[in-house]
Amino acid sequence: MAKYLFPNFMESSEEYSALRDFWRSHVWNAALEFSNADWSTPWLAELDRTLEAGNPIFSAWTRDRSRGLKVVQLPPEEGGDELSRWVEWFGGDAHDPAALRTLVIVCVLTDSNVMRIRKWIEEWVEVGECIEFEQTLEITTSADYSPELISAGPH
Amino acid sequence: MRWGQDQPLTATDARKLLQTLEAKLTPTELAERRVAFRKARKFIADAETAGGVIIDGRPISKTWSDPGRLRSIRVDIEIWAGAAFVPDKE
Repeated sequence: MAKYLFPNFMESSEEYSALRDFWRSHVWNAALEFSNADWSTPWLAELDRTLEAGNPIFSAWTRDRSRGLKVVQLPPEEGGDELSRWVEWFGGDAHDPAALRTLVIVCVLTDSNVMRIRKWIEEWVEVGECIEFEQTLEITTSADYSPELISAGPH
Repeated sequence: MRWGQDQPLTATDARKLLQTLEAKLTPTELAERRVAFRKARKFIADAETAGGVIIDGRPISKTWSDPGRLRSIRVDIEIWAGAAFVPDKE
């Protein structure tokens, strides 16, 4: 049975703060070893705990590679042991030089999920692709993505 | 559905934008996003209670989807600049 990590992050300020540190120190910093690009974190605004609510819990971006990363964490009661991801464009489409090709990960944080997430992020920062994903699952991209500020996707 | 205006978008107007978006979806698309829209509305309401959200250099990007559905079937709210979801003026 999967072990949940930081399962009470939605209710506890202390746990939420520790969770943010976990993403930075245990997941992101390890992945950065695979990158030679100049990544910055956070990329997206960090709101207070109740407004942010794990959505996203972590973000990073690199201007020189036009690439972003956004992680949305769900509480266990909402997602079981869920783990999913897709690639989308942020701030424009593939033809917009300012747009970022962004890996979005939606997860419940378990001990087993965190291993896969680390692998996905390592691949993303290293080559900008989801290698394991493309080998095993149908990739979901928003090729016809339009930069809608309130949107329902994919179209 | 985009907005861009001199004044911050009010929460009331944001809810109207969501309604407009919902009206553009098919019944199936809407059914797939029922929880996502509810959460988007809650975020707007919570932001309104807090006096709105202000961008100080980093954009806001929120993603919601329905449990049990493909998570890439979703509702997104992105705020790139300025302020949004402010309460109506008295």
